[in-house]
Amino acid sequence: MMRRAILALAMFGLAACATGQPGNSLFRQIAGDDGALTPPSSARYIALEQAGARAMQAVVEDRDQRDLLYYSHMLNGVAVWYGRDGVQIGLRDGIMVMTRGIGGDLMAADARQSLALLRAGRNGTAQRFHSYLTGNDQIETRSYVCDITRIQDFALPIGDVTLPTWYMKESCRGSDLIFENYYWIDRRNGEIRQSRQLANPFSGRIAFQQVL
Amino acid sequence: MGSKLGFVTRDLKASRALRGGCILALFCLGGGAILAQERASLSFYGTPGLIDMPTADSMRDGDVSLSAGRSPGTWRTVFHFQVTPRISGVFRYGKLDNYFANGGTLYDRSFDFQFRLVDETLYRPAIAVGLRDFGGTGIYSGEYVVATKGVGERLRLTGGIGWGRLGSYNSFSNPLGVVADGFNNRNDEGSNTGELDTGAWFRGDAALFAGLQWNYSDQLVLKAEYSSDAYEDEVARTGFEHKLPINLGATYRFDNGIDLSAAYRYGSELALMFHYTFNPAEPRIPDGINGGGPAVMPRNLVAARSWDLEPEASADDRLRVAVAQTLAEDGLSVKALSISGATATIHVRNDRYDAPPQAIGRTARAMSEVLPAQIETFVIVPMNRGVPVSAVTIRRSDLEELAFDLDGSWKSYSRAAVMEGSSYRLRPENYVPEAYPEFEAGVGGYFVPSFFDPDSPVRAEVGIEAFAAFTPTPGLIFSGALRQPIAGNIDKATRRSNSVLPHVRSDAVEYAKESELELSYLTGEYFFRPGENLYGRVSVGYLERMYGGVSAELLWKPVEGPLALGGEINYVRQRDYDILFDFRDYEIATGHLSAYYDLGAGYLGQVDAGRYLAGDWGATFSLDREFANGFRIGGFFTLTDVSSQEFGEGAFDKGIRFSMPLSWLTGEPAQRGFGLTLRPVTRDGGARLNVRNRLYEVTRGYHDPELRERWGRFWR
Repeated sequence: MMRRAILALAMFGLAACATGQPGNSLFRQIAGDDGALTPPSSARYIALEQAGARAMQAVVEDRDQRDLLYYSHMLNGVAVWYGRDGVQIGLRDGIMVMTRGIGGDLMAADARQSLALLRAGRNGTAQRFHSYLTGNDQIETRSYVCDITRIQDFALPIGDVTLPTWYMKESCRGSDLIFENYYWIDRRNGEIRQSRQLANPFSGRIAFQQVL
Repeated sequence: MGSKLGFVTRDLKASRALRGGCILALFCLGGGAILAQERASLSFYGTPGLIDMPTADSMRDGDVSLSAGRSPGTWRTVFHFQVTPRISGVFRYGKLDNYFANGGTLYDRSFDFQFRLVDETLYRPAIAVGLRDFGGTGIYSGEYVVATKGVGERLRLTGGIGWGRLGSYNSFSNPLGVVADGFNNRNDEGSNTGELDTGAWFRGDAALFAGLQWNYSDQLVLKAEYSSDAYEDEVARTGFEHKLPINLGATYRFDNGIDLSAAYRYGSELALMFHYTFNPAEPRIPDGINGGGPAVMPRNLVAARSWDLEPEASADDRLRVAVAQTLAEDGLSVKALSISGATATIHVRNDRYDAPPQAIGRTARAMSEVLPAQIETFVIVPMNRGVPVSAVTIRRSDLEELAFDLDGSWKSYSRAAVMEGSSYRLRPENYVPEAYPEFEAGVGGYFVPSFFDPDSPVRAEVGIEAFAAFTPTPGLIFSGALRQPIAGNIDKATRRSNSVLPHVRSDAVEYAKESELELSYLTGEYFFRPGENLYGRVSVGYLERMYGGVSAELLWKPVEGPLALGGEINYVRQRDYDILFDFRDYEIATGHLSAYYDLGAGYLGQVDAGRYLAGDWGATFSLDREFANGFRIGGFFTLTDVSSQEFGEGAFDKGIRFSMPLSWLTGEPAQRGFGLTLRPVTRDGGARLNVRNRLYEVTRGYHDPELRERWGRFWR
């Protein structure tokens, strides 16, 4: 039942972006509903949960999998978040630069050019680089050229709060792959409040929303 | 219905469709279609080709193709492997009904080889030379030189000249006759089954063949050919009708590697074939199903973490327990930890990961989560069978610096030091509490296939296996395994060995018939490091299903470099057919000197020379291609002083072998796998003892170049 609901929401999310309409429907009914989540298996996750660490919602869109991530630590400017089964996701100023344990992992990424444009709410072209781990245990680093466009202003509701955001799109093209990322950026401080970002070709996109 | 971010098996089906570069249906550019075009189309011989005729095309490097086909009176199954970008090899097993005058069926095993001499360019065709059935019973034997050229986007033209079977229709005298008279006559007779027919290659009359392949769409391929094969043997023996030299075929291609082919051949019959092509370098799940593992932790956070430990334990013991607990979650068994100044040395055994760099990376990250901030150098000593196999030194500041580096894998490898392990002995004062003795036991299933019995070409047995191991002290292991068959038909075979040699391997059917609950092995083993770069093993007991006795081995293997040398000596007695505690009368001293050489690019060569189980002296030559992910395909042959007449069918021992890590199939990290050795016939000449835990395999995963080849998993 829950799965179907999320699937419907995910499809609505896709449809919304396809017509150029921003939205946060991916998360609308998830906030506060932890009933369908499996019990955590990672000791680190349980410790973070008990310590009251900051939380963030995440959905692996293609698999209808969602979780509440907890913030663990910062290393070299990358915030490391834990999932309940020990999955780790690294965000540098809100942009995904690392996944561990989701399948076809993103070993590292450099998206600093994109970040600069996004934070400033500016249109432009950026290069980004992703390192993936292949099935033959090799690292493949791919480069993508991305067009970043500010589509519209959007009042983003998160919980009880409504935030003034820019809804921005990043369209990337590489030799083997085309993908699009979406960001909702707080107009007041340039912070990424909500986003839908490609993790890797195997697992597809992950949607994130800050928990305020 | 639970949900979590990490991978769960039930989601595989949904996710598999994403492979090949498609992220979401919305943004998909049809990457799968591009892949299908790159895959060469296969013939009814299971090789790149038209219908019966070959082309000069090759599969992608490393591709494995499995084919099975049926035409009236014939079954054919083919294994094709693109060994290098230019070289391919084939093993084929065929069944021809009514081949013999008494109505008997011919079971035929054959090997092919093709070498692409010239690559296709804008103006020049690809050119390849090939040998069909060069070592089998010879019914398909033929040689060819073929050229193939694409014209436009969809058409490929092929023309060639064939000898032997491929030079049998509309033939003319051999053009190579101008080089030497010897090429004019093909000597097919007198060669023993299984021997190389080098005396016949490219000899006798020749004939031309040609054909075209039209890729109507990415899915549908149409083919037509003029065949130079007159099917003389089949016409004479099986009533085959050769009405026309023209064959027409169509192939439907799926993106998942499956092709279905149909052909109308020689104006008389319809043939069907199924092909499946995959590449061992590309498992379904690129990097497997596995949690994130430990993370590199900033040093200022480590001190703040508290560990739930007995208060009376010493500071070092607390650290030992903390590290061991952290790593136990990841299937890594910490045996010892010592701290001296700013250096921490850890002895750890990897019980889970098939990729040793993954175990080393997780160990290093776990150390960063636990050890005090002033510890700067981590020395990780991987243990296998109780001995230190190498010592990998990693600086903690490098871990911190490279954790999110785009080139972090290579940089971390280049900054790590891989050293010889013999000086890093385990010392009891550094043991993690309760490191020894160890006891391990488990129950699992087993599956044993058996091939090429003419009465039933595929036989198998499945059952339950229980094993137990006791390790009182490092390196000393007492272990045993019992097998209880549940179902199978290997013991239904009726063919008896007619070998004139001692029946050292050919009584396999007797073993299957007379055993029920079997003691697969029961041994005491001792592993030790006699010196720098040296490894030793002594095994005593029921060593394998057919032999028991004593086995001793010494291996010289530097921690880096391509060469290793070893020697093994065994005194064994043949076990009774019931595979329990009794022995038969046959006793033999057997042993080999071995040289192992890593040829680079994933190719491993090995030569073992010595005395075999039947008392014959000789040498085994092996060549394997090993993918970095552990998938392995190879071949071997053994020449001994047993004559081909004494050896019997097949003339000498040879075969191909595969080994597939379980993780390749399931995506879960595991050290187990499936291994299979295919021999056209199993006889008694050139047979070796199958002792467990030979040292080369015990050690090399933790040495270079293997560590380097899989270092991509260090951060995984």
